[in-house]
Amino acid sequence: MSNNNKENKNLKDDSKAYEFDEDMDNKDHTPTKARDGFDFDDNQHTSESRELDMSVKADLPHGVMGHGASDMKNLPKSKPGWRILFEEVISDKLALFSLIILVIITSYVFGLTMFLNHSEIVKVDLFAINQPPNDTFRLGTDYGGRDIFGQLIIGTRNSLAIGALVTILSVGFGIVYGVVSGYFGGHIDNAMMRVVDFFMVLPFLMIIVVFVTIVPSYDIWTFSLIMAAFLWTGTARLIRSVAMQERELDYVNASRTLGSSHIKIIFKQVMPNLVGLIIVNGTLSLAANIGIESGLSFIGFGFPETTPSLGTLMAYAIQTQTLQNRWWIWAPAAILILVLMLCVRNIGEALRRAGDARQRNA
Amino acid sequence: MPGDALSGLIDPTVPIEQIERLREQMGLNNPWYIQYRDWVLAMLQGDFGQSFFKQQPVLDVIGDRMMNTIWLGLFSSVLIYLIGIPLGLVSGRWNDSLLDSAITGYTYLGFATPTFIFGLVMLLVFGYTLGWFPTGGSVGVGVTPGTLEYVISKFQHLVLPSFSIALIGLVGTVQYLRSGIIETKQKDFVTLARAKGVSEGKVYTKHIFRNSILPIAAFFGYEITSLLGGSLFIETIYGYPGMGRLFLESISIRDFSVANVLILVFGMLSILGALLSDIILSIVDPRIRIK
Amino acid sequence: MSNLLEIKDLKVHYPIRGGFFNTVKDHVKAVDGVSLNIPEGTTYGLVGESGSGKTTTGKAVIGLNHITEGEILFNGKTISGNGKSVKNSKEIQMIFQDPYSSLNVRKRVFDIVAEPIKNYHKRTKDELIAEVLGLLQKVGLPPGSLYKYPHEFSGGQRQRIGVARAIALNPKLIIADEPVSALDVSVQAQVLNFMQDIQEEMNLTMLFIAHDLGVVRHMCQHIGIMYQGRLVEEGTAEEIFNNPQHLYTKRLIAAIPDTDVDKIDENLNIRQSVKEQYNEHFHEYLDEDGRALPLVDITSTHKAALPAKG
Repeated sequence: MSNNNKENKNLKDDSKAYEFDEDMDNKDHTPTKARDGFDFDDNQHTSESRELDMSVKADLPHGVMGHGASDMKNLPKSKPGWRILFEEVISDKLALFSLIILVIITSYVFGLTMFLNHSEIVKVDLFAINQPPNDTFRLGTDYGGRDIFGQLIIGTRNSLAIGALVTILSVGFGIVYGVVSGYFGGHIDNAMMRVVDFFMVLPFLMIIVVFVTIVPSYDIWTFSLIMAAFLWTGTARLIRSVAMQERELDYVNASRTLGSSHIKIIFKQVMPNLVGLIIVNGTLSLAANIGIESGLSFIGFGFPETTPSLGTLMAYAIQTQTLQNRWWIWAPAAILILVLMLCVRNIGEALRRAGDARQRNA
Repeated sequence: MPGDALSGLIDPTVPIEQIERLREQMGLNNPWYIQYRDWVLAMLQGDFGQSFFKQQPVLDVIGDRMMNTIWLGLFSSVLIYLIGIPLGLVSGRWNDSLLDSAITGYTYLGFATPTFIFGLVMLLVFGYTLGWFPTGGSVGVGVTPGTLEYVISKFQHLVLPSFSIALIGLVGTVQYLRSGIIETKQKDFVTLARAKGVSEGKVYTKHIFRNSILPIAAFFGYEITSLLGGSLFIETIYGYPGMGRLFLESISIRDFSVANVLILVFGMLSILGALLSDIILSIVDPRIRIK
Repeated sequence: MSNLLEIKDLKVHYPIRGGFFNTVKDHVKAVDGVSLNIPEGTTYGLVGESGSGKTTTGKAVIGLNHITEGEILFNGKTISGNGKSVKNSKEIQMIFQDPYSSLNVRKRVFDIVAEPIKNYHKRTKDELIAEVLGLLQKVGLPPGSLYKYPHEFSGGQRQRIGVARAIALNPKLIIADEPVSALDVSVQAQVLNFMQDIQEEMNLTMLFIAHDLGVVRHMCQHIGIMYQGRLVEEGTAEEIFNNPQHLYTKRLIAAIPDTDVDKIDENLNIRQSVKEQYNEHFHEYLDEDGRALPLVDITSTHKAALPAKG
């Protein structure tokens, strides 16, 4: 034993010297990072943390206990991940442009619908049918004499609202389903994924059409629920595959040994790691859902004419006369759908790129 | 829009008692699970039921329409690969060139364009304004089946719908192929091939393209599912008498016996597609072969 | 000195599934009959090559693995039932091998270190901050680290965060799963020494898992050598290093690098001869199934899996 102890002591003395060096380092305000030669950070970050470290060490010497509350608040904080993501999108010109357009359209549409008289717009006026754009009707009228501009505004609002609602419902459910399946794995995962497989092979457009037909009273909520019921599987599969990878990482094991429950681990530990993915998936789903809603309304199984959406305006174009001669009825809606889809996708793609880049840096 | 098989079919002047009797006779008053059981049992015995509306067996109603949809699907998928693969190869090989930018711009727009809007524009431009192609139906009126004229007419009717599906449907293939090639380009075995002195053209044809195209082949099965979904819109726009349009018509007149069988057929085709993809994938990729 | 941890005939088996119906075909015997005792306040070094079952043993003690058979006693009380995993306890904590994946990249140091405290105690925010700052000081990290993210630290610093988290609940037993093997050699000694300081300060008992006898030598009073799920030799550090009995142990010791330049040739010769012996005789140390033989007592503390003489 003695031999062993001696060696121990030697080693300790060595390290004393080492620790002394460490202190010297601190006094000289050289960065504490990369002492073991492991370069882990980008330059911007270190320079920032370096400064902050210095300021703290100036008034808080190493090893002093009992800091006051004011000191605690002055401790340096790093940017949280979502802010970096947001800043990446802002610095992407196309995405920023898309974001601005999207915000303008959304606020315009939601703002204006508060002043528009809904029943007035969908009221049939046989004296003003199929008018081209003029002073009274900025974008003309349809075969029932209804104002297209008003329908377009309300329709955009409805399409956006239902797109958002379906996205929240389907992505929300998909996340929980996927993360539970991926986190627990084994038999639970197996059973849960068979359910997903089942939903994946269902011809969901046709089943939604059937549902819309047989549900006695349907409104924006039931319609969204029906759509969401078939659109959550993609998110669930994606989230599950990533959750499975996360589960293998030791921080999950660590949380378990530290006494955190499965629910706490899933929602407080694993979930924050999926936020970037969820945001990207959510935006891309939003674009897809706006498309699916307008498609369903287009073939006549979305909203009825009395509840205009971008799809119901497009549906007029099934009539040859309207398609050929009355562009003002359907073209604005078509352009709006395109613009909305492009903007939302641009933002989603920028977010995805930002997420990828960050993973490469980390 | 509630209603059942009878509401689309019955003359409103028929007395209520008679309707009730008819409903009873057809089993429409039974609870849903009994109706479902009867339906499944009949299905298993090969009895797909009668169309309420047309008063003929469902299979007869679906028969012709099915052929039309299959033709449309076949034609569209051939176009998707015929156009998509060269675009993807060009875009991937000369990435960041002007041509690549154009192709990328096209896929970018294509991803954001719903099929039905594109279909409408195609119909307006090439069908009505330019008048190059017929705008409805699957074959010209008064053409005798079996003649060359008939085949040509069928073909002409297919052009617009299938291009509408394909030009939007191929963007996924192009993008996948492009990123696959760009990724493969940087792999060590490609560098090795170049170092060995293989000519640039051969590096692409022998090493890179082969690696990138194989996964595309495997997605063929999944493509079927999306083609079927798209046919719902395109058949409506072009008045093309396929299964998608038949389905919507049947739903409108509450002819659920036809609609049910159609859903079944679409579901089966999706499963077949997924199975096909899995099989191709296991042939193409030795890593996931079943032991 | 009483034993804080006793492991009796621990077995952890995994089923191998296969075939068309996904039936159980065989078992992987990751740990196959391991018994060991750790006296309070000491460090026990569990050494073996990768796949020898040392980490599985550690994880079984803390409840991250199921237990197929055997018993685990902590402080004299059984904490394992057959076929189940051990329940989490704040008395037993773990330091993980990989300082990168074991810290959640989305959590700040404060959240990471406060997590166990929040799970077991009710604290106000200010109390928590004070407590976490105290822990950071204990492991030698500046208070400025409190709201930083793990990626802003080096590997050695990250491992200190891991240690702060593990000692936050004042545990009695720490399972250190190769805590320095992912670190650069230059910081290994530093982290090891600081762990020893903390151990002395808090009177911790430690199960130290390593694949490198050299590291264990400075840390542990008792050492167990594992080979393919079984212990092949066990004893005090002195006994293992001065009087190794099992051929496998001898080979491990011969593999420790020596910095003495003059002895290079000598060491090489020793290594070569041990290797020859190993190749010739190692099969004698295994039974028909290729598993290590049962342990035989050599002294009261020293055991080795030696073949019967004769």
